[in-house]
Amino acid sequence: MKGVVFTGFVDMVEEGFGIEMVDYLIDETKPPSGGAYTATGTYSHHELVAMVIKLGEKTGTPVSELIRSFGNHLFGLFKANYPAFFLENTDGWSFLKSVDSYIHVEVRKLYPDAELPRFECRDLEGGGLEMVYNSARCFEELALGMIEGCMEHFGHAVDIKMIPIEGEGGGTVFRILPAVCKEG
Amino acid sequence: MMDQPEHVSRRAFDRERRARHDAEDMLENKALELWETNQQLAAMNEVLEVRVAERTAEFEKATKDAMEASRAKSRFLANMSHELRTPLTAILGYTDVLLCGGGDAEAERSQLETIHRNGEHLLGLINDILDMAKIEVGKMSVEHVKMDPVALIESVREMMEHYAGESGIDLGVEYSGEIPRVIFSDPMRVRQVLINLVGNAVKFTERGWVRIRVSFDADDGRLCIAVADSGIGMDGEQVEKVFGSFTQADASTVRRFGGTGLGLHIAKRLAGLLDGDLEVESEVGKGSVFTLRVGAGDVWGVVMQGPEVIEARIAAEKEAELLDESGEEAAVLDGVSVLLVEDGLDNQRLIRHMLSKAGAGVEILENGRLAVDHLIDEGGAGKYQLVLMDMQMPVLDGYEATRELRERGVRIPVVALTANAMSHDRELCLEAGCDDYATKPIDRAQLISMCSRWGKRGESMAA
Repeated sequence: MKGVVFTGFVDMVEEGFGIEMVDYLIDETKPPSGGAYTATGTYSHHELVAMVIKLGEKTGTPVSELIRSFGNHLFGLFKANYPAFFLENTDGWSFLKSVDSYIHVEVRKLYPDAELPRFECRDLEGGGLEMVYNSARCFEELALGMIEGCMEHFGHAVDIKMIPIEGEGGGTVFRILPAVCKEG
Repeated sequence: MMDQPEHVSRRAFDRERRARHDAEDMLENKALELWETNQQLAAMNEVLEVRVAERTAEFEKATKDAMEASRAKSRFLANMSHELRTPLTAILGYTDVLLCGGGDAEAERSQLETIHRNGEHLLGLINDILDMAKIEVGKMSVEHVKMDPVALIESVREMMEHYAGESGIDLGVEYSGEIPRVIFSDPMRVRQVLINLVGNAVKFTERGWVRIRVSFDADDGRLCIAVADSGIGMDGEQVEKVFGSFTQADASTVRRFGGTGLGLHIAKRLAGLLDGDLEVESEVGKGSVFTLRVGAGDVWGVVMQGPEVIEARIAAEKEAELLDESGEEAAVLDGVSVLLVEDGLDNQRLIRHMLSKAGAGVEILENGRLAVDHLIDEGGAGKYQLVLMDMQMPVLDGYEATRELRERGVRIPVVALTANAMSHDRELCLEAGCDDYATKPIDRAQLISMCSRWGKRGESMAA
């Protein structure tokens, strides 16, 4: 898993719980890499999972929720670090559709051996989008958090449904629909 | 030591973190640059690969061509070796037989003839090879001199008639349209090509005819000489190869018909050098037509002759020749007195020799003034049946002299001699009062037939 996810996680923990919490997580989980993460490195995703679980234990927050809010945070980080991705896409829908076709292509230029999740997008009749998430690591909560972060950034109010795919291959379908207007 | 980080100040920690971020950014930028450079290298590599493939293909083709050329040369050498050995074998063999002696005179003569014939064939081969070599290195040059196309074609006909006759082939010449009296080309090379074409036509015609068809294309200023035969002809593939060097229709052609396989290649190249071309049309079993075109040079103003004029000229020349051969030449101009007005010593001698041999009496004067004085003041007019008047002379030229003679009532036939073959010149001569006109270099037969014709008229006038 790319180092930027780790440094992002560490930053988020520090921001939310203080730098001592970071030390605590690293001390407790004893990551094989040693925990000195850099954005350009690559680390085992087990290290992240271990830290999230430990954070959940310590704070009493469900792991899924932690991961989801981390995804949200990560999107904000990308926005700050990679403004180029935001030049061509002026709304959330086209941004989501460009993840596989453009953003991941760019990422591979820098990290040719990066193991990136796949997002297949399909426009829905009557508006909305279906994204099929496929990853060896099953971080669908992280994906959900990022999708939410994205739609929020572009100012779209949406309802997102997560539908697990049964059977061989697995994966998750995110059904993203424009939110029904509750006001008025 | 382990506790050290807890004493690091927040500012120092933030500095370190900023440094890490900067280093990460730098690394990513470098990675992107590297990726772009790699892309360019890959593109260049692709271009290079395409170029390498192209070069390889070119090289392969060049190698193939070179191999083909080399094989052709080897084949040629093998053929040539065979061709050179064949006559040599006969020459050496019969020389041995003769050296041993013991044969009768008739047998020995026949053996000597065989040796001679084979020697000539060998010489022909060597000449072809030399021509070929000259052409290959671009050393073959051609002349552009004044030449009489009809005389040349007739001489080829005469030469080949015998050869054709031996094979029972009817060889004829057909003139069509107007043909210039002279053209500017290389008589030796035109002759060489023509002999080759007629020789081939006869060689590849078992029975039937060979025609030399002569015409002049005024539009592009080329003399066309088509050699047509009713022979075995060629198929498309053979036609394609016929002008190639070192090639003959097939190897069996060499055995059956001999030859070097160079003749037509040389002919084609010569035609090009003569500002013309050589083309062929052929059909198996029907025969072939080889058309030689030769640039005529600047023939503006040159006298044009239609077929009738040409036939008449040829007939007259033949008649004169026949007389020659029958030994009656001496009698042709018997009793004809000619006054030759000519300043050139060589020409005086030559013409006197030709005319006296034919039986004429010849007096010579060196210029027009002397001629006019002699014919009028000295009463010479009655002594001659004919005046041969050179047109370019010192003191008084032929034009002025003739004009003066006519003005003063002398009606004796005057035949102009001029080195100029332009029609304009002919008109000038006739205008000055000449009765006829002959061009230099002097054609003996033509001169004698002209003198005979005008001499007789002069006689009747005198009578």
